[in-house]
Amino acid sequence: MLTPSYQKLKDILSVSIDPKRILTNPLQTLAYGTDASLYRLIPKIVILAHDEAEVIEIIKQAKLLDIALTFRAAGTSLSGQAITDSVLVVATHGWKNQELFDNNRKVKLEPGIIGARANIFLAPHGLKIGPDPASIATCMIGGIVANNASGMCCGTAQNSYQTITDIRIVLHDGTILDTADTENVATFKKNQTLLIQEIERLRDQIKGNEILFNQIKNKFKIKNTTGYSINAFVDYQDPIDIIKHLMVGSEGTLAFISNVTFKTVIDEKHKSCSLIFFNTIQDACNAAILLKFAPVAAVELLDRESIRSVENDNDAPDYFKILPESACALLVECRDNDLDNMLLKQLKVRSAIESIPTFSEYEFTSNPKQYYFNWKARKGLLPTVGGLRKNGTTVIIEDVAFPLPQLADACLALKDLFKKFEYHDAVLFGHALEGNLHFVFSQDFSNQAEVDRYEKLMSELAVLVVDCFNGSLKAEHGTGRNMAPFVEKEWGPTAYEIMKRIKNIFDPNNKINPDVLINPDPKAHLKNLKPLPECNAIVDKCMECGFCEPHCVSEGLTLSPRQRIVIAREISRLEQTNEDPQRLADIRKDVTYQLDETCATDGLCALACPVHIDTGKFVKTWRANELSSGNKKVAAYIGSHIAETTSILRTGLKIVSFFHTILGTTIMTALSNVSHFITFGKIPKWIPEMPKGADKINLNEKH
Amino acid sequence: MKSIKMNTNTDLKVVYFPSCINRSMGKNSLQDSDDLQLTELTHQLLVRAGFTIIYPESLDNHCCGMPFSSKGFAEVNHAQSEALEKELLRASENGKYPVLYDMSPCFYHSKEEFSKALKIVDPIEFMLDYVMPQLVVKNKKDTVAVFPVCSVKKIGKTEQLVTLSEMCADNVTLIDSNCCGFAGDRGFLIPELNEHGLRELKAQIPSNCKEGYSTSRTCEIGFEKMSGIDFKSIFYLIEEVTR
Repeated sequence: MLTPSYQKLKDILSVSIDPKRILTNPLQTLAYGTDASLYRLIPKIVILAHDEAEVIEIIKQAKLLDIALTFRAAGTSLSGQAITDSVLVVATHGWKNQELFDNNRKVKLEPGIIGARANIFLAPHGLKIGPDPASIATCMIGGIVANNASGMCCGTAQNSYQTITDIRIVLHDGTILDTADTENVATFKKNQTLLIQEIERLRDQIKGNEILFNQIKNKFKIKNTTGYSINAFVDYQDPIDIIKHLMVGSEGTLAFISNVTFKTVIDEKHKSCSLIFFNTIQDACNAAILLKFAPVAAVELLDRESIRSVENDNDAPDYFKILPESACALLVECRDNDLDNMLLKQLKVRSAIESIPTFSEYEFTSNPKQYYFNWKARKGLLPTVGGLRKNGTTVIIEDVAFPLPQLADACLALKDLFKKFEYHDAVLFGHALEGNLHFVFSQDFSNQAEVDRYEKLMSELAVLVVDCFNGSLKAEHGTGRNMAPFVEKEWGPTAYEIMKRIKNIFDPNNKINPDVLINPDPKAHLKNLKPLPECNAIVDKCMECGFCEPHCVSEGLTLSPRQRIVIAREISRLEQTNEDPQRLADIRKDVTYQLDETCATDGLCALACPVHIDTGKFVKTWRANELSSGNKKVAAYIGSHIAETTSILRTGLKIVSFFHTILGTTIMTALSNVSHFITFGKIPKWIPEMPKGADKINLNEKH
Repeated sequence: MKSIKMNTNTDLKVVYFPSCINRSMGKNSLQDSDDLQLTELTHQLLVRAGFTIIYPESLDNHCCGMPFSSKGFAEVNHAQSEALEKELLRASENGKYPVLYDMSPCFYHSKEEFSKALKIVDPIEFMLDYVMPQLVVKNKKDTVAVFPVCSVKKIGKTEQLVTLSEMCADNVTLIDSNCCGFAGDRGFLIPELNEHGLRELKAQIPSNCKEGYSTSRTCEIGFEKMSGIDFKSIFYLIEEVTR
């Protein structure tokens, strides 16, 4: 039951938005409320918005009723920035418009476009978008921009902040700012003088404070997504430019993003890489420092544990198994549109690091198999930890960055930290050129002792990153709820105060994605942790990353594979705890159609899954459990009488086809719709395309 | 049914396992009246390519088991699959001859289920590696659409499907879609899944494209329904352009 104000919002919005897209039942709110983070909040209402006019209406009506809104696209973010217990607005279906213009120099994209789809759109022109997060095959433009998501190649030079040229946003009161539209900008400036003045005041305050100014400049030399992109005040003078860049990395806490325009980036034709082994982490990090000034597209660091995770791969060289414990690898990528230039770049890499001894000889490769293997070694790290973890535990990917000169010391300090708190499965890897390190480990949240261990790790991590190395606590995954309690620790009171003022300027009532990025609760990162109960061996390793979703036929109609698993887990949990029989009954009411009947069991989800879960297989076992013994007997009978069945089917189809010829399509459709309806969909619905019966194969004549 | 002469004096032998779907479902409503049904057409095509065809014994009793597996009837599935494997082993003289499947999903299912040293071959690979080298393309088509069904994607044969299609037509539109949502008989039971799955299909098919091809009969029903063009097995395309 919705509380009166939420019910009122639902009723009002149902007038202008198809009520089928305003979801309030417990199954769907849970399914859509789940993202890839370690947190769980269940929205009261989920609205699948299809265009900007709907979003404006939602924002205006929610404001009147003082209801908080959270905006979300693919739901792949990791830090808890796309969840809510209020109203979730999902901007995925629809939101697909894309336009290449200005002599292919710019591309305008809507928030629901998957990053990889944008690149497919740009590929015929030899172009791509700048940001390249590892989740690019799933995550969408809205989230890429809202999180300033970046990856292996884009660094800090081609991320959303650097490549955005324009943005169109809807503010908390429904006002639109479209920086590409001069008329709109002029009106905005005229009508929003207070907002503009506040921005200018903040800008002048920052520019007048030399310590703060330099702190901001320094902190953004490496990747940083802790707090707001306040480098906008340092890098730009015009308030519209400042707003445009503040929106990048604002995690949906300042406005809704309707579209963005990026500068396009050249996608080099020729690619090569080399996996270079060093004797120690220090050597590898020193090489990374030298490579900062070499013509490289990417430099990825992989620690000894990372290499171990791929040493049994068929394509792995034998010496992977005998590498010394101190070894460390750099995966170095060189690209160019011209083959000779690419080879020249490889030579420059060699001479750049010739002063540092390597563990073994190294070669660059463009051979697809070797090239793929090298990157597989890098990209397979998350699934390796995810696939080996104990059921019921979460996979955590931390995302910190250090000034490059301190990278080696920081790596060793991090490894000591894992040891101290007994995170033995932790692997360390990252985007070395940006000083960005990820460490992946499994974490149990099912008992207080484990939550306490995580809390201690996080507070010591904050000390290590901030106090010892002056690094970033979140380099590219966003602050979310996970790092919100540490924003002030990282930035200090002056900068944090400015961030709070930014939030207040754009969202004075704190109703746009509250508690994310700015959160006064020092323990916010330990609350609303997502339960991952054991449910079925086929799906227990699911990390809920959402990579399956773009590959699922029923996504958007009913559930995606991730959502099926979320629902199955919740049913298991409710069955085990018996804490809310009514909720269990409500979820079960819709589950047959949503989870079971609309799954095509095609298994394409497994191709995209980092831990290769075939949710279709899971659904087949679900079906088996739901079958009555009577059904099983019928199946056994059909199985042992295939000849009769195909014969009946042949004759049946011939009769159907015969009646179609006589009665025509309209009558047949009407008749079949009636029988389809009265038997609850169990009788095959006749469609005009139903085939004619086949003639029996006469083997006697053929032999 | 007309009787067809076999090639007898050749080493090219193949076990042809027509799927139960193709043994029951005939031509689609857009096909010409003088078109052959798929099992018959496949037979003629193989003969023309010089193959001697071995049919499994008591063919009418066999099915790969997938329809049962899909509905959760694991035991019946295994029983069906084992019986088929046994018969194919016999028919192929313990794996001496390749076994042709005329539907990719059935091939994929058997590949997952079988444990013996059988050389089962999916429709795309068989046409590309066994049949096309024996035939000459005489009248290439102008424009066709092809769809790699899920099992083709799962065995990584999408590129081969394109290669095969490009041997037969100048312009090949590779349809970009997830599972079509027809999913065996699901397209009859839950038609909205197919409609949702192929909601962007029409926009992908060029206006001059009147024929589409794939390697799964049931998927083709949904494709015909949602595209309005004639959608059938790629064997028809090969048979026509090499005639």
